[in-house]
Amino acid sequence: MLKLKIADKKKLIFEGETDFCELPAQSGIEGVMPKHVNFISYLITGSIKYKIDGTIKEIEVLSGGLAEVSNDNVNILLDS
Amino acid sequence: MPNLKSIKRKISSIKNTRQITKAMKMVAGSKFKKNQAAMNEYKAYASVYDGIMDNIKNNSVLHLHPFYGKNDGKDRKTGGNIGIVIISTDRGLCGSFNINLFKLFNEEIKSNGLDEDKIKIYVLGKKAYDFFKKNNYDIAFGMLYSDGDSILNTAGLLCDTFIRDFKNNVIDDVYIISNHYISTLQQRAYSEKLLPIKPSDNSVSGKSGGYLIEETTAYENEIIDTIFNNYFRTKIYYKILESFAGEQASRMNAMDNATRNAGKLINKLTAAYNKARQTAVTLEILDIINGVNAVK
Repeated sequence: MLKLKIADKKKLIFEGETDFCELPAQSGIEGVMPKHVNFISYLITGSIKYKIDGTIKEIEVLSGGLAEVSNDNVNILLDS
Repeated sequence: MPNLKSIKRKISSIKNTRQITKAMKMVAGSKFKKNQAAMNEYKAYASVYDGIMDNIKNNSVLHLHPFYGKNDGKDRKTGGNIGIVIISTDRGLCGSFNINLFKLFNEEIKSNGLDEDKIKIYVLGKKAYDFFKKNNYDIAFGMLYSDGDSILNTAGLLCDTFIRDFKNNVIDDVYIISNHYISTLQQRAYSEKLLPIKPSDNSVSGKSGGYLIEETTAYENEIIDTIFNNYFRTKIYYKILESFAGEQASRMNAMDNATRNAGKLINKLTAAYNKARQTAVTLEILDIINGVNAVK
């Protein structure tokens, strides 16, 4: 399980566990599953997808952000 | 015997003061709500960023970055140059809000045995600016909120200044002293070390190892630079918001106390006034009775 945390400058958008998530990284869309290698990346516009209980949810990234993945923790900051 | 008229004048003046403090309390209350909302909005962002930094801090690959201790051990004890960031308020009448900062500042200097000549002050807010100017400290950066810049810009300028000084070896350590917002009734002055970044000693989280940094056109160090710079901006910005909320909360309490004290004083003075009036009446009656008796 991944611990996913998404926040922008107004509020905490999502915090919880998920099996899989997908990020619009600068060099292309990045899929993250448990045991993913640690990485840091800037985000571009696009959508973040994550899967909870078999359903996929989507969050729009309007203007960039920052993602950090380490030890099955995914932290995402959105600039908007 | 106190003069009736003078007591009356005092009562009416205190009543005026009470009205003013009451109004100020209301104003502080409405501002507080706004500032508190702004603080709470930003809280999530700041805390997630804190989490990211905690993870990145332990990354051994990054320890070559200039933000990590470059003055390990040597001139630390004899006291290298130290930058202290202080976030205060522009206005007074908010209880001990600013005084607590100065107290903590003095305590820190004493307990760490710092040399006052080697301290550079980076200050926000008129109150602290005046204080440090009066005490002849070296103020490297001073800015008031009333200068008209947005808070975000102010935070950015402050960060840029102390980061530049740190990189140019003008200062070797950076501390921040600001008010931590605990609740409406409680704010506490709090000091924290900003630079150099220390990897935490906790070896369990120290295992996080290396990071893969997304390949971009920018040089790797620049990405880390931006992340760190933005981190300090976020931190300072959040601290300013916290200080704003705390200021209004503190002012609310101070004004509430003032209003209550004014009420108490009015009661006391009214009692004194009534007593004095009664004494005057009694004396007059005694005079009349004596006069009547003399005539008989």
